[in-house]
Amino acid sequence: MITIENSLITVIALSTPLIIAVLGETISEKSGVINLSAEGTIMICALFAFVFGYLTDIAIVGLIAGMILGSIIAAFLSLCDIKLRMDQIAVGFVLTILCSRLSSYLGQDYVRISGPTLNKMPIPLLSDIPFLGNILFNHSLITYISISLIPLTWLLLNKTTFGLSLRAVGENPNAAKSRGIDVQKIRFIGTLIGGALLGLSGAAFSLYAKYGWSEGHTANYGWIVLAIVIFGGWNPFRAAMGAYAFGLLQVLAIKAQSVTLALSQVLPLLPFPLMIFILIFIQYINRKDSSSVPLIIKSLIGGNQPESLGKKLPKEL
Amino acid sequence: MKIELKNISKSFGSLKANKEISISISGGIHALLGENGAGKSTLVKIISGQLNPDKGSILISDKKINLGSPKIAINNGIGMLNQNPLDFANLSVLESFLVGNTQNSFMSNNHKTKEEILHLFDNYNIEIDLNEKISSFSIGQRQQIELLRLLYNGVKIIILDEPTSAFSLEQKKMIFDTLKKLTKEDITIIFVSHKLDEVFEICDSGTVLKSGRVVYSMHKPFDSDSIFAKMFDDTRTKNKITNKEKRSDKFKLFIDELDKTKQETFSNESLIDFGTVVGIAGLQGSMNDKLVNNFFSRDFSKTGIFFDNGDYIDKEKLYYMPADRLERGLFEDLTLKEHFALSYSNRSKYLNWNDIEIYGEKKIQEYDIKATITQKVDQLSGGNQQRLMLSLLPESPGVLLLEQPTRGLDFNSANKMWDIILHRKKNDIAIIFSSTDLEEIWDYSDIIISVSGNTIVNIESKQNLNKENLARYVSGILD
Repeated sequence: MITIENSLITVIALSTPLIIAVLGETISEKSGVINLSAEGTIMICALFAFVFGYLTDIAIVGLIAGMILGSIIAAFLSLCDIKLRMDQIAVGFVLTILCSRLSSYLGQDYVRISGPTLNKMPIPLLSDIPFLGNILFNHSLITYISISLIPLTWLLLNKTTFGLSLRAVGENPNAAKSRGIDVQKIRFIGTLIGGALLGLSGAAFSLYAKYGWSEGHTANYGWIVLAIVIFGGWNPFRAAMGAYAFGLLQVLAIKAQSVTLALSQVLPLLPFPLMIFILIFIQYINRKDSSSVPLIIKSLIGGNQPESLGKKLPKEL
Repeated sequence: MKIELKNISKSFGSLKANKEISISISGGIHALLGENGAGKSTLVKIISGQLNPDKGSILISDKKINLGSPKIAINNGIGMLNQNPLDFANLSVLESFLVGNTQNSFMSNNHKTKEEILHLFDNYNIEIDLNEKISSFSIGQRQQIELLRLLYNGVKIIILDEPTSAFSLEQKKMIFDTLKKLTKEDITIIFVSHKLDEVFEICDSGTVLKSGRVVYSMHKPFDSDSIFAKMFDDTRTKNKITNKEKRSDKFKLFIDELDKTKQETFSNESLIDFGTVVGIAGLQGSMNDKLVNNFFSRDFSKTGIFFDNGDYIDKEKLYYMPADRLERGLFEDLTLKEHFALSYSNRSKYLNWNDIEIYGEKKIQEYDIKATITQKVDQLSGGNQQRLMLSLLPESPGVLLLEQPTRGLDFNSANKMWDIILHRKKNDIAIIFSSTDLEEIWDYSDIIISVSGNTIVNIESKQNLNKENLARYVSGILD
């Protein structure tokens, strides 16, 4: 029981940055923008958050710095998209390379030094609940943020007018415009929120989940984020489940080290083929003519890819 | 509701799309007629606020309104039903109604809204689950939903931009009835079309545009001859199918997708003369295009073309022209020259640009393409793109498989297209084409395959068929 409890605590703690990033990317993609700079953004924001936290010795300052830098990168991407009508994929890819290289160059002086971290903040009363209390309510601030962002993102997308406009823009910008929506503005804000969360995710890495800084610190999580968003079918809850499942496999791999070395080497690799397999499966389910698939599975697994995802805005918008 | 357009002008670069257009509509259904490029769509975009005119004003009930913003147009009661439903595939019907329509930042009062919408649907006898995703409806249903959405928003002026192409006969009748009913509630309808029969059926007044100008205003009863004369430069009569020279050989057309229950009523292997034109009639969204494609991909389990002696017609003799010009037929960003090079290059490994240019110029002449050889395809009009696509098919005789060869073309361009096709026909083995325009099918086919939804309901030579039955077959009323 203790080991299960400990493992689950670790899963939730370790998945913190992933959850935040996945939710951010989901919001961005719902507005029609694939932020392919996720990998680079998370990495350079992890560095920035660490540096600011280190210099001020206040971890919260680091979190805010990460969010701001993430928003700036996203704003750049968005302006390339909505104003210059450049290809999102190309710009995002170049940004990723640029930010990754830049972070290893700028971060040389900060490798493996200790800085501030976010401390555990048990929530009074709730954390006393046996079993669940420890798993859910005995974490740091950023983990609480990550957990509460899951329903908040869902609420934003499904229960607010802004969320509806955002989805409308991601589906069909032309139609959205004819309903009187300012398409460029909505798409810009959507990308910006997504970028801010990617930045916060980076900060969650260097200030909490894997505190400190080293080159390649975020271990390609940015790419995983892009896959988990598809896995989640652009639904915040499902995407979060995907992120936790990924975290669980990572934790299992660590535990397996004590059992057999072979298993511990296989498990960390497992998510990747598994992810590819699941993505193929989802793709199959989503195909319009796959009528052999039961409706329940379809609604459970199939996703709502925004129709205009990754596409340039029409000329007249 | 009265709407007045005053001196509307709009240019795109050197192209004057609208020149000093003034129209006054006091009510009823008003037709906006004109051939492709006459300026209809620019004008309706200006009315619906999607475009800002260079000059001119719009008055609603004698009050001047601001232009250039869809939101202002909506607030002034102007709504537009587009050619294709301008909606959101992944949103639910309810959400689609709410987009851009809620004042609160939280969508809390959904229950009341839902009741109102359901009530509206009830009034028009439409049963629809509001939580269903838009993508699960047919294009025709989506247009109905859009029309009801406009009514829900309290529009007083509805613009319909060639909306009927996706409708089945029943849906069309329902929409037309609805439109007539709406005019009694002081709703003004602007009906953009180039189908004169529809205009005669429901419109009370109309305006003909040509080259961006108003050339004719009309009121019921309409005089079709003068409308025709005003719409087109030359009122050439439709091409007559010339008597084909009979060649002795025949070939077989094999189709195996007939409605299984009715299989005995018609043979699914037809013997066909060389030079026959086979028309595949079906409504938008039916399998008529797919059938043409099937012949090309030689999906022999279902369809095939072969000679009388049982040999399949050589794959290289099947020439296919897809319906979506820019999606599958041409390369938007390549020049005409490059297109000719692509269709010419299989003759040698290296590109001989001089030869290609000569070849291309010849084709441009022959197919009457109004463009220079160095222009990019996206600068061409639809008719010219379509003729370019035809010119890229090999010259040697073959089976022409044409998916909707005149889709989206006006009367003149369509006619020109058929001139060329019929000219080619003299040498070709056969022509198989699909169309949603029953007139076109009737005018040019020797054999007509009628398709309804995903089934072939009838194969018959034209002599044994009458037009009314064709319409019934296609709309699935008769089988």
